[in-house]
Amino acid sequence: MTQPDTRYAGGCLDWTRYDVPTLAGFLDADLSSGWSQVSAWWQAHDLTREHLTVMRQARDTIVRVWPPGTNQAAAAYVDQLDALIASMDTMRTAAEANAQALGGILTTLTRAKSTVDDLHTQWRQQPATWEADASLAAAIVTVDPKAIAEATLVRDRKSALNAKAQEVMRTTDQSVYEYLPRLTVVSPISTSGVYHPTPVAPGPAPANGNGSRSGATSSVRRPVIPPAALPADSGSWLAGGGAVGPGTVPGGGNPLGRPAPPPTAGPVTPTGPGFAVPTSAWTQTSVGRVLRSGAVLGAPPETPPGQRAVGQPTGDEARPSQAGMSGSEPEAAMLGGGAGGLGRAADRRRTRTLPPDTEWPVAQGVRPVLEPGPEPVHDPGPGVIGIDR
Amino acid sequence: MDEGDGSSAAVPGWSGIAADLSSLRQLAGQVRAEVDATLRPRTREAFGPFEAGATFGAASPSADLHAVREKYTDCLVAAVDQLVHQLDASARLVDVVSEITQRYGSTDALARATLTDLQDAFVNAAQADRMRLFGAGGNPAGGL
Repeated sequence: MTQPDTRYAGGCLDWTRYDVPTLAGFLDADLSSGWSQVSAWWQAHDLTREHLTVMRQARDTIVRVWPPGTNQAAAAYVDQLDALIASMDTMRTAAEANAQALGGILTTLTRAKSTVDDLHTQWRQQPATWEADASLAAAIVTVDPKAIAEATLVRDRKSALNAKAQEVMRTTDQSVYEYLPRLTVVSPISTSGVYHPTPVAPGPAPANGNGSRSGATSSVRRPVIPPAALPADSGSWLAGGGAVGPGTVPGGGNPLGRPAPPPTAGPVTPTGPGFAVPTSAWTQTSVGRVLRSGAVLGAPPETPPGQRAVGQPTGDEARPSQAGMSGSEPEAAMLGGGAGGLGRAADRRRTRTLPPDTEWPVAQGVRPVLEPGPEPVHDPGPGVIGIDR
Repeated sequence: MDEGDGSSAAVPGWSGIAADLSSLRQLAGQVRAEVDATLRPRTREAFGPFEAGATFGAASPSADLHAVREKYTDCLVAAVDQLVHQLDASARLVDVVSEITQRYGSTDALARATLTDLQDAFVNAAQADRMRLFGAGGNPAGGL
């Protein structure tokens, strides 16, 4: 419930890379299962609240008949009961917060979809891009000012539609991200004391697939929650940009102003004998996942992070003005990446400062710089005059 | 207390009971019935939609949206854990009270209960849970 949460750092995406049809495709999703989850969160809230009532009344009765002051057993029992009641109260609050946050997220996405769909309808009413370009070229060749003006107008209309849709995506990103601190991950349950004296009988390992705490037998089947899959276009995050998919605006620049998000145990890419640099731009620290120092959002594709020498600046670091910001804003340079929406997005991200213990990329497996290498051995072999006498 | 804290909401079929040892037994029976007849099926029902995970914004390349989806997934996993825990813990605590009251016939005897007795009661309750699950043909790891 704290903000900013470095474990879930987002990042600016350069939406100017995409045209209206592509953006409409991004939003073209069935949100009905999401709305079902809103109902499920409310159901979790209600059932927890009602059971909380039962357990509180039960506690009152137990305390009257078997007061905690009677003996240690009574005190221990009431402690367990109180712990359960407290965790249920937390669950009730979290379920309510998550129902509201998810509802807000879905509403935001629904509105964005509606707006971009309208723009898409207008887009489809315009001539195809190739057609407009061909008309413009023909008009230029024939030096027909009226035709040139018409063709230019068509192109400008589509550019304007693109710009509107891209702005919708930017504001949607921001609005959705504002729900992030409202999402509540309930705290892990404490299982100390006499409550968990099991295990009793051997049984097969739990198969919940979530890394959930499920050591004890449960009387209800745990659903397997799938991890949040990376979007189809996330390859461009991972590669530091460059991949251009179909339906994008021709001539678009670096698609994402950010590298790959999550990696917990990221693979390393060897770049030479005994030299390895993490491919991920993110690293895990004591305060959560943060952007690796030196990683730059929107790095040009020809210099992916794993192939740079340690300490070598990326193109954007070396040329801050080209990244759309001044050199006095290194944080914005790291988080901003590309054009579009930089102002508000960068402002928002100023609150997400990197912690002092951010890991710097260090070559692994190489000799220390300040120590001499191993003494070279010169062995001319037998029979050399002056040796082995 | 207000409704929001869950202390005063009326629960169908539930009524407060007087405080003596027999009422403690009655309490155990009522709470156990509430867990089995209401809490468990409703928890199971709530789990259905959760199984889909974070479905919103899956097609978008937005990093912000992905971050929100990641946290939301964590919310789902933690909530499932918590709901299972509160279900199992409630049943276990009720079974323990039931056993304790059976073992000690009076409130005076109850005063002699030791921590070891309590721990034994938890172990027995856990064993009884397992037996119930095996008997019902459930999967001891994943439940029914």
